[in-house]
Amino acid sequence: MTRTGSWKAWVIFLGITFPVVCGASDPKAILLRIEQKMSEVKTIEADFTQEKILAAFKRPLLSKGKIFIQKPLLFSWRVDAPVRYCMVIKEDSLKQWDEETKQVQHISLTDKPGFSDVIAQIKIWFSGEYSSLVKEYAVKVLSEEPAQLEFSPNASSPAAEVIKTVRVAFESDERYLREIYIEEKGGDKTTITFSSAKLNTAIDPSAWEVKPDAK
Amino acid sequence: MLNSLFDSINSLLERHKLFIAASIGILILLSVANLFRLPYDNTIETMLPVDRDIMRDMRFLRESGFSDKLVISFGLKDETHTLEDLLHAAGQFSDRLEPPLVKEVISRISPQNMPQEMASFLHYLPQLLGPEALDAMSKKINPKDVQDRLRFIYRQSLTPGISFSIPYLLTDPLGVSSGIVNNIGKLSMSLGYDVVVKEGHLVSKDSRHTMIIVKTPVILTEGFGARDLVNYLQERIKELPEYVSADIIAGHMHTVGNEDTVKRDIWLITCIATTSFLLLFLFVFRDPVAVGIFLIPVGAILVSISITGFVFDTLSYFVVGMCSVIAGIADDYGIFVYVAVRKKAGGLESVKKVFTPVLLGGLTTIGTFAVFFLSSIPGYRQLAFLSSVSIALCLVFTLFLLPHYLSKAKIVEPGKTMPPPAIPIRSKRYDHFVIALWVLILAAMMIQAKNLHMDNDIARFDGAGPEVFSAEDRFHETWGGKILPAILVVSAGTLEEAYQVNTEIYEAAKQTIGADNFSSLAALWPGMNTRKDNLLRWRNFWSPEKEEEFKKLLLEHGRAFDFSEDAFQPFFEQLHQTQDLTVEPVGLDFFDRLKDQFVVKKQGGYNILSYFPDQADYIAALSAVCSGHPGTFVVSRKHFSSEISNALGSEIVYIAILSVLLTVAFTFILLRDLKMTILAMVPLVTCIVMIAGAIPLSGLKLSMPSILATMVVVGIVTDYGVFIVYYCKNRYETGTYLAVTFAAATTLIGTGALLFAHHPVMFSIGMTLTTGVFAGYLSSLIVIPPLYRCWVNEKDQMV
Repeated sequence: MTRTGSWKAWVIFLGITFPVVCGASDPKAILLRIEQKMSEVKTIEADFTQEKILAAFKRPLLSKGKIFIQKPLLFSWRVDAPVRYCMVIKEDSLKQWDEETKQVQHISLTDKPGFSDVIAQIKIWFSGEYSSLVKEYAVKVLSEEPAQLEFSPNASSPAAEVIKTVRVAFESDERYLREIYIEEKGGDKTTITFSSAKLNTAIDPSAWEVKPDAK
Repeated sequence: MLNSLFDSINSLLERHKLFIAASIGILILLSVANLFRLPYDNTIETMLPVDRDIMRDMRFLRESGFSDKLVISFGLKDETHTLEDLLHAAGQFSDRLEPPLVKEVISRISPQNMPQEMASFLHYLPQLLGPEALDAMSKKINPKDVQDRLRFIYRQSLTPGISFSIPYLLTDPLGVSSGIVNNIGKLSMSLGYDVVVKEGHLVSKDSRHTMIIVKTPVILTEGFGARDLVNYLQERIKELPEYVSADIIAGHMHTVGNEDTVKRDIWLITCIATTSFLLLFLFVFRDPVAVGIFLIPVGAILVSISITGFVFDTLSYFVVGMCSVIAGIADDYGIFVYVAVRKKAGGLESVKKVFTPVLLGGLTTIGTFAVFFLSSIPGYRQLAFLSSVSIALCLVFTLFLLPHYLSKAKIVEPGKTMPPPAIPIRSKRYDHFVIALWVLILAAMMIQAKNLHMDNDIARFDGAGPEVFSAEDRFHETWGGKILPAILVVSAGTLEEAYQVNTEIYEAAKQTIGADNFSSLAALWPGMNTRKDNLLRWRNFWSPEKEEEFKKLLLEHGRAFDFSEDAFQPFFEQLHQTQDLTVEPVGLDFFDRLKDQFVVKKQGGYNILSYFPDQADYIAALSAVCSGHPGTFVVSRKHFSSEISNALGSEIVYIAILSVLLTVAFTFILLRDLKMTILAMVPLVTCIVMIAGAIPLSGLKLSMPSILATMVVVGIVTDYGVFIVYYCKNRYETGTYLAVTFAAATTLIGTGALLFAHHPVMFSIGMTLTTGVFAGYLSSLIVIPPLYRCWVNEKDQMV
């Protein structure tokens, strides 16, 4: 290869690789892309498996169930095992029920200022509206396609009091999550894996009820 | 004696009249220049009684957190923008606010670590749980309750994502702190606003509004500082994006709004009154010299304002607002002198004939205003001084200066330049008819007067303007909190002392009005003595045996849920921790916020506030509680209004009686005849009855300003009575009827101009004065002559 040929090869090589390299170091663009794709999804119904490693328990807490989301204000978390438990958030109220007590607990989020932000934190990771998090979190791209992102709260962010890091991995079409991993400041870790996701299908209204036989 | 005094003064003035006129002219010009240098005061405190309780409440409002805090409510104007856009705009706005007018901006709170904060706060649990809570805790230490609680904690661990509440639950495995958590929620909401915390921002339920709290060193009663602050914030609001609206909610807006309304009113009233006066004098008298009659009170008032500003430290805008009324009254004397001179073209001789009634008329009016010197209200004392000096100067100018210019004026045939005086009808039937009609009207109005009710609400005197009220309506529609709670204030030299008294008050309040109706910081953080007792009980309760028993239960039943052996170590660690009773929680956001809401540092001590519904029965019950605790008191809008009303009411009754007695005494001195004195009181009686009847007839209520205006009317209309009775007795051809008519017309112009005022206080005064002056004038002219003929001099039908 002549010197001229070598120079041209470098130009072609850089021309091909530069946009890829630049794209990889621009999390905002990826966040916007994901937000755009996830905004097309209005309802989600999926199976989940949650593994919590908490210092207070000898073994990891494994739970399985179904999650229902209807944007923007409905969220249902229904655990089938190890105990039947469900939690439904509708606008500013939260209801939860479990099989053993068979009692419905109702919490108004407006009466519990601290609680409403806790719920907001839960909802934000499932919603895909991540671009708003850029102000409070440092975002690192772990993998580009399908995207895998790591969020670490800035020191000045209130979330830094609780969260050490959050990692989210997306399905191949990037329209929904495959996995969320949360590491808390105290060392507790949570991994939620989603499967059999149905997007934009009509959700049975009973999913928003906390009755034991509702689904 | 008065006549010889008049002669000697006038002969002296005749020789030096040019010099004196020039001196007075210079004095007036200097006074005009001085107007712009005077220290004006636009605070309402000047118009409040110097009552111990009222001053204490005002001092509290000044020192409390409310008077130096304001809220700015932001809203989205269109549907295309989101809450996020709004929060961003509000955040940028907050960043732009800077000292010296803004001390601190609270635009967000951070409740995300609330469970962690609660876990930290539970360190103080041994100090906070009283005997009842320990009893409840004791009952929970059994296998079933422990199992239920462990199941609950396990279930909470299955919630999605972050285990926010777990550290808190592990620190309180018995769930005994639920009462404390509920108290925190209740205390946070004690001001009754519907606030949702979203991402740390204070957001409305509809998610279309957010608010920020601005702390300022400017106290709300400080008029000029308040204007600077409001202007500064309004300038910053102009920089907001177009899709964002902003309302400032603050007492400062009322201070500035009231000042603006009063200023606008003064300008409007002055314009209306000046134009009307000039038109009246120029077109009715058709004599340029007649303008002097109008200029005399104006000059006198200008000089008086300067003197008042010199004597008092500051000059109240409300007092200055009364100047058009004073001008309307004071020009009466000029009219009497002018008409007397023009009627007979007699110069000083004619003036001499009206000298006594004018002088005594002026003195009775001064007397009416002078009784305000006895008032405890600084503004009223200022009004007494300003009006007395104005009228006194006006009398001097009118009686001793004006005649020297009128006597050389062109003499015009009466009837060509002035309307002929009203000729009274002189028949017995007419007299009886008039008297009967007068009595009937009075009787009818007295019946109406039964519906007269007092309006105690000082908020009705708020003339802040529709923009301020609309902003507040919008705010309450979005955020609630329209009905503000009353406040119980515990005041003490040290914070610890205040906490302890606050705890005692809380215990008493729970007994009297119930814990649900009384939001007190003592529910969360009691005084040191109480915490010491709690700590002692806690240590006695948690004996080694009890601790061991509970540990065993947790271990035994925790296995089923896979709890680790040391899962509840945070709870056992705090059981016997050293507790320093003198140290209060630090570094906990929620506690700092509550403390900011309930504890106010003041000069030389602390105030701790508690909130309760502003109801008369609660105020009475808690005032009784306060009476047993020196340094504690209740502040409420209703209570404050009734305090002011009571203080004003008792004072005004005393002043009103004195005013009437003084007026009667002056009249009797002038007339030296009981019957004539009684006749001269006809306008006084008529105007009082008519005002008392007209107020309920107009759907209004009696207010403090209207009572004060009635007292002023008494002074004005008594003059009319004196002049007419004087005329009936002496029958001097000095144009008394015409003079009284013009005097009443000019006064009505001054008082009628007040009816155009937007400030409720000025309007109320205008309404009362106009009714009273009109009734007094008509009764003087129509009722006194028939009564005089029938009662004093039936034989003399010439009157």
